[in-house]
Amino acid sequence: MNFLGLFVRFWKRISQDSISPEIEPDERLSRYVLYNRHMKQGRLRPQAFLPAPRTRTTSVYRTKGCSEDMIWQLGDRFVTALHREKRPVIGRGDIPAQVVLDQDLRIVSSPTPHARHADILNWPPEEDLLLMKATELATRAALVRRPS
Amino acid sequence: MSTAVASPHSLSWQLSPGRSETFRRLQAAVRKILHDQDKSIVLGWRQELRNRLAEIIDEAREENWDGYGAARLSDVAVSAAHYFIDLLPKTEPLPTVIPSPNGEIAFEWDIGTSGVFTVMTHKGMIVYAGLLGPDRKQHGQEPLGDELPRSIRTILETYFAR
Repeated sequence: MNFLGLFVRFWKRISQDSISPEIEPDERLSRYVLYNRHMKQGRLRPQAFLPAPRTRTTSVYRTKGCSEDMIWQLGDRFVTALHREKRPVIGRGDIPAQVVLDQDLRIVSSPTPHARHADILNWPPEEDLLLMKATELATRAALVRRPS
Repeated sequence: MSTAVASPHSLSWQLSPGRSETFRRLQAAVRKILHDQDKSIVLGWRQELRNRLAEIIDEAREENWDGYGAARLSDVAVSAAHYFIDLLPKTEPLPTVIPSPNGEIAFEWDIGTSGVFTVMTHKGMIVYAGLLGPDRKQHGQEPLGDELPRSIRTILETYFAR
């Protein structure tokens, strides 16, 4: 198969990927990082998990069963591509869904822009409690830096 | 006869009085060196924090700087951060200064390999949260006033006193 054929197959695999809307506690969630100060040695910083101010949601991807290559491609196609300056994905935080649920947060499938996209919801209105929960997620997430 | 040596302090001792233009210029230069040196000792660590703050202001001056719809840092947030720096005691290490998606500025201290303590200003309040040990976490909010709230001061002095 030539390069174009491989690319088309890969693209179809990403874009037509289907996944159940039900999120299992043992699923891996990946939070892509585009800002270098959100990473430190071996870990993510709490700010990496804080919700977006307008939507009060934290955007993640459900990456269970995905190859490393596919995980980074999801970030390129559906996170970087939607960024105004096309800022590249430089790392990610992998975290089991159960850790998020343990913080009394909810995870809901949100299949736009991709079937594997999900949102972390139910962030508390109290800023200190919200920061505490983001801290718990950050310290339990595994930082994966993108290979150069 | 003047003698130039490495230390500005010793230089001032070894300059013999004289009335030449060279001597006066040298004397003025020595005074400036000593003044700047004293200033850097007094302002050193706070100035370092302000330098770190300046870096992130530049990085987060546009909306969506994090790729997830973050608010740009507001002028109020920057002023509050400067004010907060003036309230801080010296800590070791100095905190990391980092923009927050809500447009505020956070100060973060690492505790070992698994602990972290974060403080940020938010709408006239100081918000803090920390994992301070395997089974110890603490969070709260205090008004941003003339002094650093005791709860935050205690944590900083306990874990990061110099």
